[in-house]
Amino acid sequence: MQQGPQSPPPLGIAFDTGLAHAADVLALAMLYGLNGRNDARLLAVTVSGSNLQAAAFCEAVGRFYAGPVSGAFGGAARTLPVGLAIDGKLSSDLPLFTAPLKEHSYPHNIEKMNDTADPVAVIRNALTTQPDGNAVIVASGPMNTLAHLVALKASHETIVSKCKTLVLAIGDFAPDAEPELYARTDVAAARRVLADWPTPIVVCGAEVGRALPYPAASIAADFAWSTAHPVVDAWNAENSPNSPGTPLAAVIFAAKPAETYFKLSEPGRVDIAADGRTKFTPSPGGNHRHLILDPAQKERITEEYVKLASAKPVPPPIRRPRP
Amino acid sequence: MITGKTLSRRTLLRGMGAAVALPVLDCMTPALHASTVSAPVRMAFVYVPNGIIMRDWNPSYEGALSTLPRILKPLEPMRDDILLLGNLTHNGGRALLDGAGDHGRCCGAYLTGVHPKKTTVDIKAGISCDQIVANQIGQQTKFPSLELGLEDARQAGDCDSGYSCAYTNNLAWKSETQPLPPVLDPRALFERLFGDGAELTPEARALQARNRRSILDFVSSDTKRLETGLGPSDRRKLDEYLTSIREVETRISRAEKDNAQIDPHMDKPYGVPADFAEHFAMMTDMMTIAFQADLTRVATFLVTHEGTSRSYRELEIPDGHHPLTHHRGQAELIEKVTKINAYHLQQFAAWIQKLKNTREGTGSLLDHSMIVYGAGLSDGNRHTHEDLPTLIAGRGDDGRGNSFKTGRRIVARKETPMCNMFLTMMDRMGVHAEEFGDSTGRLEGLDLG
Repeated sequence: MQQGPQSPPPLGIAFDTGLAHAADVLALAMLYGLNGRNDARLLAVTVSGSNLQAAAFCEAVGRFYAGPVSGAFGGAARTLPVGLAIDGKLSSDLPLFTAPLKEHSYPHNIEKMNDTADPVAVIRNALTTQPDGNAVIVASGPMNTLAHLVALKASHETIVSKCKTLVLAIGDFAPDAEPELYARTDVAAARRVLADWPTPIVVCGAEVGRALPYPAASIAADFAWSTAHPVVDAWNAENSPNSPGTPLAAVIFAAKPAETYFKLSEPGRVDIAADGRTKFTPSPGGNHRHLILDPAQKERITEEYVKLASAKPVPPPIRRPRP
Repeated sequence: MITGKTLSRRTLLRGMGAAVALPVLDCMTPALHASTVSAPVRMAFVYVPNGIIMRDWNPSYEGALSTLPRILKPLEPMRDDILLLGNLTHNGGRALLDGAGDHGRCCGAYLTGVHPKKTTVDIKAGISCDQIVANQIGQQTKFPSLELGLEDARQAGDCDSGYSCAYTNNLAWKSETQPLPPVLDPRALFERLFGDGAELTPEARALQARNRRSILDFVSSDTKRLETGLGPSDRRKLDEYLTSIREVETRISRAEKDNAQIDPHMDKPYGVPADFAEHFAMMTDMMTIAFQADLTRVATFLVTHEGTSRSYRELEIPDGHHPLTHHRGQAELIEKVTKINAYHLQQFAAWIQKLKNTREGTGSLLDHSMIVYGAGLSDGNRHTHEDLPTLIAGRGDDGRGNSFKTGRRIVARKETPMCNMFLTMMDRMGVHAEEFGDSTGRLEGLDLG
């Protein structure tokens, strides 16, 4: 019997985060939501700040979504190793990731640096698991890890063949915008990535995120299926209900580019000034674009935020040993 | 030829068809400069297949080594001389869309750091790190590198789910398409080290063995002449060294004699002893001599090959090694694999002890060596490629103050490429590469200070 053509595997997404905003946590939750629905596969989680608690929190979120698993191979569900930069310039403890761990003791296995992973290896290895052109990297944080990755000559071929697009949630393209945190934190790294990254780059600026915050009312209404939820705890600890939803917009665009949620700028080049201000200059053949909000899509996008971020964990299939 | 009173490091004892290099003697290093003479650093890789029972390999602690887990127990007397490394990973050994074949992949990736091409025909991996070093420094020694093994070195055919036997049966790769098959026969290795390089057929070798005189007999004139000019310390060193050669030679002859009595048509090289431990000891003893005489500074040793079904009747284990490793959690099978793992370590530890007992300069041969013992799989049951069992014996002391701080367990961060360790070792060999395989940097924290 002949078999039909195999359906392509879901898009693989690697997420590199500075974890300085609750929106980053919601973006992570959305990625687990996409993963559970098999709309995308979360390949890797890396933290570009150098804070062990931030990595521990990311692992705790991973375990929360993995849930308990039994079966022939027994034990806990396999969670992704969390990569942590050792040279990140965001290193302060922030309530959004320290409070949930303190208050609810979400289980995690990260107590010391060598419980975390080499973030460059994590992202590069994640790409190698994908068919050509089937991966996207979403980065919402300082670019230090990606700058290291792009500097590795041996990784160039992997990036080119596997990574379809690099989606950056950094910068601010509004007129007279102040320097955005992630862009100004490591200007040199961001410049290197923008200059040397070999695939198309799409940048989602804070002006898009400000227009598309996560709806605060959803936090109380849509996560109530769990008595304790790390995403809710992070949101409450940050207590900044109108903060920009930039990383969420970046994730939606990365996972569903065909859904026309956003408009794309013409090709050009993103430059970062020494103080971290970002500027887009159109140029034919440029490798960069930035997202442009389509006000008509705002409601759809917000609905998608809520549907994905508040999705319940889907237990992974039980693997049986090979005969 | 021996000339003058200060002996050249490259002095050979010559005789008919024989050329015996010498170990470092005091008279090769003028007294005033003895402390400033650098010892060469040696690098070797010893590979065992089918993973390890990791719960009996990994200690529960980090830092200074104290009590070692069961498999590593044989190394306890030398624990101050080893670095036990955790969390090193070979991503190239993983499936990465290529399906089954972890045994073929993990060995092909082990020293090359690449993801080998799944094929039985047009093989492709990468140049291995030992060969990068051999290419750079190999001209300083008689042999750029030595490749040794104990088991079947078939180079063609399918050895694992579509992976060529070239991947499972070789560690060293001269180029991405050219593996360097290991020498299995102790006699062949002996003749390579001390002979004139001519290849002999098994029959010719048997004939020669019946009439054989020791290779040392052929160089006796040179030996006597050399001895007259040596001080007591050097004379003792020379005697110990030549005795070790003679012992190996005697054991090879004995193995040949035994084999001839057992079965003249046996399916393995004529000089390979039936006893696994004896075979292991012969090959490692010759590596010791090769390092001691600076015949080479680079060696690989494929103990047995990935997927091997070799049984260990000497341990009362008639089952094949590979089938046992797919134990599915059954205690009885795990116990057998643990015994095999410990047995391999026992042989390795005996070699390391010999290197430690072999004096060189102000230290030992082990001090000036980096001997990696490891496997391309950690859990052989599940075929995992992270936290690979890895240790380095020896400090890699180059005599210029560069030395590993041994006696510790260092757990790297997860997913740290094994190639990071190779880069660090290559540095110690004086070979500086920007990247190797899938490296992301050097492996930090090994050195003193």
